[in-house]
Amino acid sequence: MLTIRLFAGMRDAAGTAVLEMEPPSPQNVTEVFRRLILVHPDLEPFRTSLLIAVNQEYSAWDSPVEDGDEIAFFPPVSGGCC
Amino acid sequence: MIQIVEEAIQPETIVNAVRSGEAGAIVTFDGTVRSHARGRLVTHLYYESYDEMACREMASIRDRALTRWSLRGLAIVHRVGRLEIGESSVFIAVSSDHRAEAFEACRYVIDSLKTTVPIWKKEYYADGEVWVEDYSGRTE
Repeated sequence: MLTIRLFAGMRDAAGTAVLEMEPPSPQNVTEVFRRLILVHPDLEPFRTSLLIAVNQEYSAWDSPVEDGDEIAFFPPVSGGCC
Repeated sequence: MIQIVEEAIQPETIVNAVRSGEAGAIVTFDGTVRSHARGRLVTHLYYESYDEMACREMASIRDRALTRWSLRGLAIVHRVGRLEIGESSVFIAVSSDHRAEAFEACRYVIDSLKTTVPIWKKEYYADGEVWVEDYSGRTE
C-alpha cells in the first residue's frame, strides 16, 4: 500500500490527513494524484501550485512510486515569519 | 540543534548550543508573530509541520551553510501549534570565528527555510482565517 499524506489547506479540503492507496498503474505520482481526486475532488484546485514529496524528499509529477512509499501533497510552504 | 517544538522557544538554550571558545561571534535571528498581515489585523497564528520532512530539510539547509561558510555552530528551532502575537515562531543561532560569516549564514538559513521547509502558517483574524500561500483563497 501507499500512504498518502496531506497538509494545511489540502488536508482541510480533503477532510483527512492520511489515506492509503493500492499502488496504481502506471506507478507514478501523476497517477496517484489522478486517483486521489476521484475520491477527493476538492483537491483538484491545488494541482497547479502544490508541492510533492516521496518518502520525505521533494519529487516531481513523473517520479516513480513503489509499494510502501509515503507520498505527500501540500501547498507552497509558509513557515518562518515576516 | 535542529528541532520542531510545540512549547515556547527558549533562546538562551539555543544560543548556548552554538557557543564555542573558538567562536568570536554569535548571530541570532528571532522570527516573531506580527499583529497585522495583508492589511488585516491578526489575532493569532497556527503553524503546522510535516515534522519528519521538516527536520530533514532544516538539516539539509544547515549542511549547505556549513559547506559554504566557515562556522562553529548552527542551530534552527521552529515552533508549531498556536502562537500568540509577539511570540517566537523560529529561532536561528550561528557562531563563527568572525562576524561576517555568521551574519551571512544566518540570513541564508532564514531565507532558505521560508522556501523549502514544509511548515505552513494559518492566520486568524477577528472575522476569519486563512492558510498563507494557500492559493485557493478560501476564508471560513
